Amino acid sequence: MNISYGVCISLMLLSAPIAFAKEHVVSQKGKQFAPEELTISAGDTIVFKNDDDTSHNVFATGEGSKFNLGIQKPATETRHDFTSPGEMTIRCAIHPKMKIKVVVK
Amino acid sequence: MTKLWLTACITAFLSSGTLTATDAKSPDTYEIKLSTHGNNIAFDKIAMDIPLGKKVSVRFVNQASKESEILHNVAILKPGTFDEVIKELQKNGYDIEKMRTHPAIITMTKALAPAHEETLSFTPEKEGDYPFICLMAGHADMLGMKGVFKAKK
Repeated sequence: MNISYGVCISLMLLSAPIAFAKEHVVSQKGKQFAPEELTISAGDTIVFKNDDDTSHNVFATGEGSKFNLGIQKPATETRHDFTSPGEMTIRCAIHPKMKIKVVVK
Repeated sequence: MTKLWLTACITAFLSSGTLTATDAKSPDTYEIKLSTHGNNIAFDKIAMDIPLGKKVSVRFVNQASKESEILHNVAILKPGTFDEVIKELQKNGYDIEKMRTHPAIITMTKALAPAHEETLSFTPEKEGDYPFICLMAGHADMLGMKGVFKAKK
């Protein structure tokens, strides 16, 4: 019986890929994203920190990458999980010049 | 002297002051005032009837607070062209000035800072729904800042 359990667990561990999802921090300061380009892995999370003294509204449009994180007040964080590979430009709906290119591998 | 004084007063009264758009209806132009809804990314009206074949003047005011820094614009589209305009806008990286010559856009304002305004005019020749949208990044496509002028006989 113990051998059976051991075999089962071993098979499970070998067959399932082990992935450690990461968190990446993007700062919004001076009405800019920092960094302005970021490459992450599918399953990772980006934490958008508002380090400015004004509100922001992070969003993205495009196939497979459509989201709106809503109005984000200063000194707050909001986060988004990126589950599918692709490239997208993320913007702020209040400050049209703010953008960050994100590549999800 | 009294008549002259009275005439001068009446003339001064008629030529001064600001008539609201709903008051100033000349026989040749149908006037509308359109604004933003406070600091929300939204217009204050989303549907209005307009007369077919008559010149329509739309006075658009960005009423967001100065502290918000939110820019807005308004573009009036030909009926049934919302999707194609949004697609082109996204393809252009939300550069609104690149949209100015798009064939589906009848007329549009520039990007307006809070407390700024611009007046547009157009004449709807066909019956139908003429969308009006804000072209700023995400405002129409993600946040729903849009409405419709319904042209009827």
